[in-house]
Amino acid sequence: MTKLLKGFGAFWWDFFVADTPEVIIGVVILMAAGLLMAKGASAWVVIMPVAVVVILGISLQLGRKKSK
Amino acid sequence: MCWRSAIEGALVALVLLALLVFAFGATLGRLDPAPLRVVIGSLLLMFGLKWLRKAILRAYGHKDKHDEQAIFDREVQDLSKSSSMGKGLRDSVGFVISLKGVFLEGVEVIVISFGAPSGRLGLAAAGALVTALVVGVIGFSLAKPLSKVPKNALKLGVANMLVTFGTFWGGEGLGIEWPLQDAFILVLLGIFTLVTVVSIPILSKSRIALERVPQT
Repeated sequence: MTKLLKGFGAFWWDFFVADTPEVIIGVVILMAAGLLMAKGASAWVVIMPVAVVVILGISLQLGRKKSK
Repeated sequence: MCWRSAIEGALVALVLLALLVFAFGATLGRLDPAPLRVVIGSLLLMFGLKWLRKAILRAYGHKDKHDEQAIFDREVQDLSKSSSMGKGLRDSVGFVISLKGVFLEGVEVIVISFGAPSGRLGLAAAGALVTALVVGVIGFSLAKPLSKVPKNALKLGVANMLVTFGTFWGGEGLGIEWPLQDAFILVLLGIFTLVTVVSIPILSKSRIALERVPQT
């Protein structure tokens, strides 16, 4: 049973997180900040896509470092 | 691997998917769409950004490009070794692989279908079914020419679309009022595609510059 649960957990960890925890953390932070501040704030039309590009940039930078 | 076990795995996955939609579909339709869009948008963003990162890293040479045929041959060889099929027995590996593949892809389609027209489950299911048929027919008739399209270019395109829809739906769920309404999806797609297209040569140049630095 423990082995089955461990395997189940490992599968979902690999499916969602794997080698890119920064993407998951970045998206969670972005959405949490958005829930607090975005409603009706027109600046978020710019902030949201820019934040997505920043998360991608950070992840690419980390990916480059890992591959060196 | 045995076709019978693979088909049985696919059928079990289809039954599980139908149960999933039956169990949660009606409930999801009655929920407030805003939190649902935040969750679906977040998932699309996570998957899309992971794919986009991998595809960009491959495009500028920091990750090996996939040789799909070699990967397929290797997988078949590995699966043949681990296959537990005996005379008159079922191939458990083929069953599980088929079940897992169909179930996971199905869950992705359900996630995308629920996100688009929240509260219109019938429309979403019909859309998914029509899409499956159209993609099947196109895939069957264009299998050869499509196999010549670079896989990484396809992945870049799909990843950009996932990131675009994730940003749009996630933003809608957060209460952002996008200008131009649904047409803003095209603006977002343009922005993310531009970022991708610009980032690849920049990263490639930085890699070449790094490679030219003499090693001490």
